[in-house]
Amino acid sequence: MHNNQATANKSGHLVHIRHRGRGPQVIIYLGKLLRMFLYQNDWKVLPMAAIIAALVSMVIKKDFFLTMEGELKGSFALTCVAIWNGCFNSIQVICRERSILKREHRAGLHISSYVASHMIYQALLCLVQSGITIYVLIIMGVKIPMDKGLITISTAVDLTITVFLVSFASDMLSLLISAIAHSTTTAMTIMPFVLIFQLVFSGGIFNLPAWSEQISHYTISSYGLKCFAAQSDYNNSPMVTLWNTLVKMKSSEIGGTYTVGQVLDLLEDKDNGVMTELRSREIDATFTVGELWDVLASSETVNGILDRKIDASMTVGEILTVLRTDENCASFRDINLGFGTVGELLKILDEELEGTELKELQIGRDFTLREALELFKVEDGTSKYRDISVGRTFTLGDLIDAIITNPDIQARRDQPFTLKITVGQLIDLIGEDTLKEYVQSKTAQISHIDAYEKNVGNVVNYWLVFIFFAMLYALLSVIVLEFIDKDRR
Amino acid sequence: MEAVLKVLGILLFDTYSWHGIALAALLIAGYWGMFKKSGVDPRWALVPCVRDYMFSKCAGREPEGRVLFIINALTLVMDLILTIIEVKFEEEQGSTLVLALSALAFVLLIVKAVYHIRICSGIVQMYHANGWWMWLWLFITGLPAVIWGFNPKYQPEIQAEDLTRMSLDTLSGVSVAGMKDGLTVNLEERTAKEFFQKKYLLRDIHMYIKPGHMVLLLGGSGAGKTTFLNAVNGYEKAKAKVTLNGGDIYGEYKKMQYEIGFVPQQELMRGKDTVYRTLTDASRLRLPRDLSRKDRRARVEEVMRIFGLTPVRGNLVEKLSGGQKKRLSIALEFISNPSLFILDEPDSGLDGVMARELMEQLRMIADQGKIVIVITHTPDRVIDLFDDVIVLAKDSNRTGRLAFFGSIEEARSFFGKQTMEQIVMTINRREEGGEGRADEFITKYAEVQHA
Repeated sequence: MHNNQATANKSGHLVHIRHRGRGPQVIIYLGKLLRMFLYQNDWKVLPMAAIIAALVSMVIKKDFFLTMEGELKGSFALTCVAIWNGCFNSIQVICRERSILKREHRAGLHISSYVASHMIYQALLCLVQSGITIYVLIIMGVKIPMDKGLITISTAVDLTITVFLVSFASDMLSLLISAIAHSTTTAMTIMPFVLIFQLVFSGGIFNLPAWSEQISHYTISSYGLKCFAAQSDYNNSPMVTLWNTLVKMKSSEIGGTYTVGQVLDLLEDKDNGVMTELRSREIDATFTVGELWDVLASSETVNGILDRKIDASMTVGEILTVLRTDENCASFRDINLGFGTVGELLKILDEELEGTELKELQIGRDFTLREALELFKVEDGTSKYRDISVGRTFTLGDLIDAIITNPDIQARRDQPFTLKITVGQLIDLIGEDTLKEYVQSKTAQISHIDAYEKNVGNVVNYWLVFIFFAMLYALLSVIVLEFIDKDRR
Repeated sequence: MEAVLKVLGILLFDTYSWHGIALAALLIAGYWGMFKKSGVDPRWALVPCVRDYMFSKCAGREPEGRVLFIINALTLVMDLILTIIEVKFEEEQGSTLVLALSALAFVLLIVKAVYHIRICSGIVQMYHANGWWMWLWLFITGLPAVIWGFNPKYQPEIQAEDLTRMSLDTLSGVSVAGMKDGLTVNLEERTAKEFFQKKYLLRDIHMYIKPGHMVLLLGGSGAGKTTFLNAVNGYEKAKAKVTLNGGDIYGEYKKMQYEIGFVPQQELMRGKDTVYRTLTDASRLRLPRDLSRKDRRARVEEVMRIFGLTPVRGNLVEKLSGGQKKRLSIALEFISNPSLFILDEPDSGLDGVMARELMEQLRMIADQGKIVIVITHTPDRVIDLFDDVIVLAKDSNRTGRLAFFGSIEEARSFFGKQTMEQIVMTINRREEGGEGRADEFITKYAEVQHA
């Protein structure tokens, strides 16, 4: 048998025999905790983590890593999973053995060693849980990218680290609650408040009033959400809610009575993104001389002047000049063809035919415009001119401007008309792909959040915050437990 | 002016409405009479918050009164803030602060109602009144307060002041000289502060216990036995000087704590660990670090053999019988071979045979030159194993005092009783079924020591 630990020497002073310090005590308690893992069914938290991950994956797999809404929902869900796992790992571990701890503290146990052993043990537990969680998400079909991660070799590994750190910080928070509470009942009563606080003040899902936004800076969930959102590249994902709503409304009929002026205002609106895009669309308005003649020949307005005699001595160029300048032909020139007026076309035609044989062609006899048109249509000698290409390419904006500036149309601003159209028809009118791309990119642009930006700086900062939280809670646990001998019996 | 009146109303009566003030005045009047009956200064009835605390003391519900005092104080502050906001800052009335304070006030109201019910139930018991009075107390507190306060028919069972009086003044004034061997205790007082009040838990305890002695610690419920043991082993320090084998337990606690083994009443061990692992961990924690692994294991084996745990070494602690658990709990402390061994009811839950076996093992430990102090509520069946007895008793002011320390035979002679259980009955209070002679023996022992 050994001697007593503290014995008086010859001079009467105690000779101190050294006992195991903090480091070796950590090892002793780590061994104890690992045995508890096996015998006290602490291992059950591992399959529990898998079940929770599987349940969550069913909800998030559809759009996580695909859309902005999916990123937010998935990030929030992953944060909840991590916090839930972490909190329930350690909420009872100290309070359930508080009396035992008090006894062991009395026998020489250092509180810091006790907490340190719990930190290491809980870190291992959280790490395994995090691995299980991500693995289950992958096998359940959540589209976690398998590319190189922002920080490590894989995005999945990056995510595992984040899940681990969020879990661990939550775990240490629960450890603190377990250190403060004197019974498991008290701890489990406090627990829901902590969880609700974390989830409500995460700041991502719920719109927080301004005064409470500061509070969210002190929650693990807020940083967890930001970190997951950054890693899933929230800012560069499309936002689909509005577009999906529009698609669902395709059969819905919209419309009502509008005035021409309202339509003109809409067409004029330079700030309207859809209109801006439409205005930039090019329209191919090139055509041949033959096509022009055909159009003219089939026009009712032209038919009104078809029987006017044309001086036989005139060349085609002179006829064009008459048509362009004669006052009698003014209403003819004002005919709007949709992409321009007849007058503008005649001007283009005049310019295009400049220097050509056609322009100098003598008609040779008195004849009417109808006969001239027929001549160009049927005679072989003129058929070679029919293929001359004239006209130009212009944008839809040019056309819109032509409509807007048309005094006749402007004069009818107050004229009402009834519109009946379905959302689907409207989408088709604008172009489904164009509108979809526009709506998704525009809403995504509006929803851009700097804190969710995918970059190394953001993610590393969040990781450091989790480590800070974990260390702070562990330190507070030590401080709280140092007063364990003040417990009332 | 309106604000000043309202604030004054809240400060004095907890309310500023006229009917509220009338009810509060009725309550104050009733409390005045009741406080006088209970021996509390009636002027406390005029002080908001404190009057409810004093009322709780009259009801014998002082702990509830403390909580109520804090809730009342918080409510008062919030009422003041809300009143000032209501009068001065009309635009703030729907603000977040006001809403938050209102929500908090509502939560406090619920807690207040619960504690009010507890205290009212206490006052009804204290006055031995019919249960239906409870309803009056709950809803129109002022009315029963006035009736009970001024009708001589209603009298409390106990005076409130009895609950918090100072300790008995008769002191031995004798200190025991510190010895090189054994345990010397010179405890002047052990106090605790509760709600701004200093309470004497223990006072004037002096003794010297020789090495190799097994000492019985006797005392009625609440006499301060566990408080005394915690003060002796240095875990809860008192105003005292305690030396063990020449070492100052308080001054050199870090060194001395391994010299003391304290076995608590409950088996505080992890049920899901094995017996061998539990002992091994205890040995690693308690034994010197330079002890070789071989020696440490040998010590574990030896302790298991001494306490008959070898056959169950691989079993989980939770699977052990009551006696085995007790033995393991003792073995955990014994493994470090302490000089002072303190056991708080080690035989609770054990049958006579097992309790005897356990006590014989403790005797064996004492025979190795250790000091063994044991609290037990069934001392007579094993009294032959003890050398000395410490008798602690609550004096009339509920302070734990030393009523006797000496050999078993001297104790019998001192108290004029043959059994230890009779001694306990002698010093127990009358309401506990005892003879209520604690003060007599405390004074007598102090005089003996002084002489």
